[in-house]
Amino acid sequence: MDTKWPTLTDEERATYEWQMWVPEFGEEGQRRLKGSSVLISRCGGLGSVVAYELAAAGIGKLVISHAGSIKPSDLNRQLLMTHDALGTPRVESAKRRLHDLNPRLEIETVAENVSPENAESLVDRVDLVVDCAPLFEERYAMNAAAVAQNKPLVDCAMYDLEAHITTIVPGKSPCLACLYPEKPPSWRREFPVFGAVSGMVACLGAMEAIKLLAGFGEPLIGQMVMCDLRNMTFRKLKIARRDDCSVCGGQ
Amino acid sequence: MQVSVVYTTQVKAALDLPGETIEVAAGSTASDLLKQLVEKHGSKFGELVFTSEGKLLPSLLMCVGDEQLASPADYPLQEGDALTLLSAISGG
Repeated sequence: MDTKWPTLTDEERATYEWQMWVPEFGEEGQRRLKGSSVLISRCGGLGSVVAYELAAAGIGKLVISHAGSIKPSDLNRQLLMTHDALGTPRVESAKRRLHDLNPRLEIETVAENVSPENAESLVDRVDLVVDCAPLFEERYAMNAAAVAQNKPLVDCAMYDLEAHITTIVPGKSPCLACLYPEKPPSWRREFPVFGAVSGMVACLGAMEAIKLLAGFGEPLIGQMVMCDLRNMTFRKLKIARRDDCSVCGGQ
Repeated sequence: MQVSVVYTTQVKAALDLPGETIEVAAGSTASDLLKQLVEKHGSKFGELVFTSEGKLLPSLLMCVGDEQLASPADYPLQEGDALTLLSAISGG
């Protein structure tokens, strides 16, 4: 038995019994999750579901970064926010809901959005990042910090009924700045979204995080899944590094 | 020769079109195709693919089949190529 990872209690064995039946995961995978930490940037339509799935799966620690208070327009998709908590800080509602599900989970809430000023410190606290931010500036800040600290980043994004997801492993895959050296001038902070679409790609992102942390399966390294739920098209694209990338230098 | 183009995300929304088949001259590059499409669809397409200086937008991905083109502007089109245009998205 690998002594690097924490052991499971009887309660944890009972809780995670069914997922420990997954081949290649087992009790070793569960112990790895228990000993792992994840930063989720914003707990909105995407981040709420990523956090909930990781909490359900038995991740040891979540760092959740999201500024502001709950608005009515959050409630069609941000599943950690509740109607009775309108007007209160989003991260507090998220923490309460996550602890309702998994009281063993260590949660660090940060009532700020990721920025170039705090990205290095936030990424430094975790083993892996799941990028769920609605603004490219936040995504670029997390990407740069994750590449600098050699940590994997799962990048999830959606628009309308479409979604993209890729997994960035420094040294093994293109980084976000390889893919998009500059943000699209057409992107607007407010976008068309159903919660079922953001939740769908969030579940894919949570599974990518689980695979990377537990060390099984084939993460989307150097590949992007694009899907369109309007006609249920799913495609896996091979994506390219840029030798002149300003962040990873194509390494 | 004919190539097909699939539009996604903001490009699909702007054109209200999921894709089309286009006749292009032999020897055309992917950049030539996009210029031809700007002539057909106008500025609502042009501003999603080219900068104001006429360069390909860095936030646009082009794929042939299921593989991203590393240097899309110079890619020499082949008969029957199936291209996909993806504009970067960030919704959460």
